[in-house]
Amino acid sequence: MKVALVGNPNTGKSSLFNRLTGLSQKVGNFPGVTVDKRTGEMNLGNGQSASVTDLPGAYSLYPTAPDEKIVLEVLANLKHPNFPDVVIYVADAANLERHLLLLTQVADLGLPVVLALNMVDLAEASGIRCYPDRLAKELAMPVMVVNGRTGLGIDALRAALPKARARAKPFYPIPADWQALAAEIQRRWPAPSDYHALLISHHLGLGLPAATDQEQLQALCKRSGLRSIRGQVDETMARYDFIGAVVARSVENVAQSGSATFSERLDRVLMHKVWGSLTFFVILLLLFQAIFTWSKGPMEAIEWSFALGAEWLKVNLPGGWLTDLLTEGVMAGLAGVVVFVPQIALLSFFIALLEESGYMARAVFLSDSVMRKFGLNGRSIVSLISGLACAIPAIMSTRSIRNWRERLITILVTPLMSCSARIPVFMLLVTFVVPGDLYWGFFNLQGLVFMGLYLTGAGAAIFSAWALSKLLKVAGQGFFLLELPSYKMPHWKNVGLTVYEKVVTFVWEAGKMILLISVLLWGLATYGPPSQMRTAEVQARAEAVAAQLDTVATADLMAAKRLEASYAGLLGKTIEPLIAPLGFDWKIGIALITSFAAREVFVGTMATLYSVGSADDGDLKTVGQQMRAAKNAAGLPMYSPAVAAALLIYYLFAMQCMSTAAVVYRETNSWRWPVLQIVYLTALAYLAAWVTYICLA
Amino acid sequence: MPKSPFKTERSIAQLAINERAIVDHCADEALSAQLLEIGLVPGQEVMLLRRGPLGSPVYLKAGKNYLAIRSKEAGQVLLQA
Repeated sequence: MKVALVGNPNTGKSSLFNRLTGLSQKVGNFPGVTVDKRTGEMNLGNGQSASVTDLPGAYSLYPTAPDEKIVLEVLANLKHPNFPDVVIYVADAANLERHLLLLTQVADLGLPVVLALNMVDLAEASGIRCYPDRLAKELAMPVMVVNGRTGLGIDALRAALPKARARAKPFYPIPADWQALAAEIQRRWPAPSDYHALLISHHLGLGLPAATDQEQLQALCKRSGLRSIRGQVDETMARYDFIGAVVARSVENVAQSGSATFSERLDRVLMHKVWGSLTFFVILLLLFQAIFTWSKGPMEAIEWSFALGAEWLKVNLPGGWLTDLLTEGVMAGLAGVVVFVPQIALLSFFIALLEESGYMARAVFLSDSVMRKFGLNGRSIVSLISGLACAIPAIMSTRSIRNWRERLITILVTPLMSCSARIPVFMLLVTFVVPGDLYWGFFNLQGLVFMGLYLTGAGAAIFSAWALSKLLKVAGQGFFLLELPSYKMPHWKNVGLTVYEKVVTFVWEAGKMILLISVLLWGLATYGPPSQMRTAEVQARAEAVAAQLDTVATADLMAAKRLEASYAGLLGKTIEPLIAPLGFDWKIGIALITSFAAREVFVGTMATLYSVGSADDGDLKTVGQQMRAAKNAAGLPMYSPAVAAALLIYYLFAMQCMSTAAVVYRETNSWRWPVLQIVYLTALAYLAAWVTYICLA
Repeated sequence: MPKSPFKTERSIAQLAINERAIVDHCADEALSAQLLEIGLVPGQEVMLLRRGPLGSPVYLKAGKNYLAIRSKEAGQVLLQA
């Protein structure tokens, strides 16, 4: 048996879903769109089980957003894989006058429905008392009181499902004018009910397989003079009239004190132009701090334990290329995936907290007017700020942006927010541009340059968003209509499940790609044309002996020469003419290539190339010293302020993070966007670096 | 929906904070359909609770629903005199 959970947004549907399915739930995508599809298994209580699909929240079967469209598609298309045998309609007991609208529409499709009244405790607290038996009689369907959080009524719900039947009569009698049209449609494409047939006509061909069918339908509708919106409005009003009467007879409104509710009082502050915005700003700051600082410990622990694991493998496995592949390629790759888990978990946690408590809607409200000028959404600002820590969880968080265009623009510009991986690169290079002891008034010049970089990144992000919003003209989607839920204590089980879900999705889906590219890059940097590699090793050994280097220094020199002779080295030398106008040489070229694994790899690569590969990864001083001593072909210092500045600017704009590309692919469901992003950002980085170099050289 | 005979009608966008009024109708048909579905119905009492930082969106209480719409759309929802 297949069950679907349907209801308005903010009804606690997800709590109920979690109760029914527990850990059996899986998250995927509805085909063709990046809308979360949550499915799971539930027990029916009599030994049988059923599959449950949690459909996105919707206000009616006339969709205004991609996720509302999914609801219509699943419920109106009998051939849809998730088409249910019975629907659990979840409604907020405090606001049945509106919530029952969608219920009557769904029932009119000819589907068996069980009405689950949720949040009854909250309703009672505001003086609203429901009489489920009266309601059941009026609506001619089973009505149960449930509580998604406490589990009240769940067993009764389970038992009611197999017994549910479709209603004999529709709630909304089709107006006389359209009965003929409905009959015509039914004749050619039989539908479970007349309403179903009319919906098909309104949405032109939903669930109809062939294009010719759709043309015929269109012709039919034209002939009958069906005026869509007028019809929709009349239908909605008629339904409301009916529902209003039913609710008046089954729900009691106890006299209220007239004083503001808790949510209203809280909103006086949190929605205030000044205080609200201030609070929002503080919350964003906290968010950033959390992902930036609190994740450091766990991330280091992960890297350390993987390094340990690799060591152990190296010791215990026989030497050879397979062991090397496992320890240096695969283990490092796996570490590169798992290392993101703390940041993803923390961000998902905070965002879930914001959503569950109801605050997120307030944040969207406060930032809407500013964000809209740049084609962004209020939720975009949460993603952008998170991007200052790491773009991966930030891009994953854009899923909550319902408008596809706003979501896409946010995804495309987020990498321009300087993420924390750029910091080691910035720190290393900034010393070449500005000496550390220079001050401008109170301000340390290096610190100012740092800030300048961040501001430039953010500025570029905002400008790109604005430009994209002008270029990406998509057909207008629904008006901005935001419902503000009452403030609630977050349901920790929901929060926990959401975090778990996001982490698993990332590791499983993006992780595969990241691992693949990581191993590839490792291969390129470790292996080279055999003859060249041998020559390099021989040469290195000879040099080491001549300079009387100790074992460590010899190993470093070997590593440097091997990297130069590897495929990555070859590539670096090949692209040298391309990057020469920026003042870069082939060594920088190699670093640019290896940095695609992760930006901070730049430091490690530089270290290896300058024969200090054995130095501690965080030891920027040693690398810096070597770089300072490096000379270019003309005998002048390689890393002049101009070159360093150009390199800084390049790293500021370029998209050098395969993990980001992998996540963008997952979130946009196509290769087009990550490729476009890489091309655009690389071009931007190149141009900006070139201009910088020209100006400073 | 009955149309008011008066030409100059006030809209939600013109309400003062904490002012209440009754909704008459919505000038834009597509918008009216969506507003109906979210709970903003003619004949209902609305109260303006807050305005956003740059004047948009506006935060309303419509019956039992707490909604926010942009000021442009709010200007289309006309009130009974």
